[in-house]
Amino acid sequence: MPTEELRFEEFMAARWQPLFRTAYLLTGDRHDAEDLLQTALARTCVRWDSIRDKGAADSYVRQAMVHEAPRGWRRRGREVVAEHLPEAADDRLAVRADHLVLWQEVRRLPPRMRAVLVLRFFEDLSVAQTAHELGLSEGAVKSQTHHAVRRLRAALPDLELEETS
Amino acid sequence: MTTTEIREALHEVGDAVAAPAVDRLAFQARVRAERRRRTASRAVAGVAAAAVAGVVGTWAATGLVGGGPGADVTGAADAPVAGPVAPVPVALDGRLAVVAPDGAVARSEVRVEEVLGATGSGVVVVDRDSHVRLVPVSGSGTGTAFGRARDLVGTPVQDVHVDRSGLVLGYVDLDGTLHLRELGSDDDFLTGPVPAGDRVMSVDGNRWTTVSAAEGLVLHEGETSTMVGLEFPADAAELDGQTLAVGTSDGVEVFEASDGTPRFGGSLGAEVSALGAGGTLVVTATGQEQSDRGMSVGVWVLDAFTGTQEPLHGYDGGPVRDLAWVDDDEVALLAGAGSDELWVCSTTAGRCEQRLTAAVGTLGLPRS
Repeated sequence: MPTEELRFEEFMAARWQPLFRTAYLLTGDRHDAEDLLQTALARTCVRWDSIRDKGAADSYVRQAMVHEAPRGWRRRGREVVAEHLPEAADDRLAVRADHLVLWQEVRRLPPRMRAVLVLRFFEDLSVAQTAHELGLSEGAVKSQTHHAVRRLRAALPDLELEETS
Repeated sequence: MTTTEIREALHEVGDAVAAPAVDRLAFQARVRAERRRRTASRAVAGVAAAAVAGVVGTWAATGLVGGGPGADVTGAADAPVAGPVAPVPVALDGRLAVVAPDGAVARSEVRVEEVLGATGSGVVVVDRDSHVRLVPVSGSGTGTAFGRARDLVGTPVQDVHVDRSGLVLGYVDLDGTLHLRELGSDDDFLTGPVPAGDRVMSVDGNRWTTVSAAEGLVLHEGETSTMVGLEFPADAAELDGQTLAVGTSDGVEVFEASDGTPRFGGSLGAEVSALGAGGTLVVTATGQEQSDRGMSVGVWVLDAFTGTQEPLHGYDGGPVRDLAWVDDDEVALLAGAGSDELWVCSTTAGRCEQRLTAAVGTLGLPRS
């Protein structure tokens, strides 16, 4: 698809599903993910004409989401460290048991730390790209990754997580 | 096993979650709301750039500091900021006032003990009876109007803080209980005792800091408390994002907000400092004691994660007495010896401008 001619409606139709997955990983909740993605896409929509590189629109939406996600949490006063995180019965994920356990621990991480993991290990962004999208230094991204892995390792000693770049 | 495990788990979870169909009606409503918000924000910013103050639109767009729900989220498509343009809420002659970019002052009749800061819905102040009040502000420049103040708590408070998002209010009641609630809500989402002798220093979402003679500085998050190791007693502790910035008599020290680990292993030596939006920047300035010891006076912006520091240009005032962020980008400074000078610096533009001179002892910055 020629990015120069890409219209917002086409972009949204093509990218809704993958961006929803990212939103879900950032929020850990379907409803919050939909809310977050709609907010980010609405902002992108009204700025569409001023986004010169339409090929970078994914990045634009992701930046909107990673900046908005902690605010959504603050508005709800959540991020409580709970024994069992809420998940509707019909919202169970068909994933490997050990991956589900790891995912539950990722959901307990602070929003920014979780965002670093999602951008680096789900979106497969480099440290520099992650730093750019989060508005952090590269050192901060490395530090956040280190602390995230340390937390996960402490919570899940059997997984013996190690840090690799 | 390596971080490959994290990668695999995230991809498996991502693949397993099915996206709902796009709710077109809801999305169109959001787009309309975003257009209205953006139009209001741009109109005010344009007027402000022309040296006429804009109050509601700017604050509604940016929150207190760190951005409110309507904050612009990327700068990719926006023009760079030319200089300080934010209106600054201050305590002037004991009343709430707003200082426009051109130095014009809009004075309210609201008598205040302290101005806490601007939020998307108005300016939060502590009045002379120790009540926390939200003062709606509308219009701009000489047309600025102050609405009827609303009591946010209903009773006097011992202490009060608004977090940097401008969304969470934390106050200590007269019985020594800390209440955390969304700004404007009557319901707490968290309460807890503050032991006698302890003092709440800052709040951020469901986190807060206290200082006591026995334990020093303590970082609280939900049920978890972490003592923060300090060589000097904490005079101030600011919390936002991943950063805890602590002001001591030795300067500002920066810690990881997650576990209180020192980020740089020592004080950064600034006498006056303030942590900015998202915990990514700290603005520091030379204070009176440092000036007396022969240090040159200046203002700098420090990357809270790397420790790199850049000067902010254009400041030629004396030692700085107080600092307060007024939005995501701009910082207000209080300086002056025989008078109170208000300066405003844009960290994006790297530039400071003097905005107001008032009689000494009459001007108070927002707490930030």
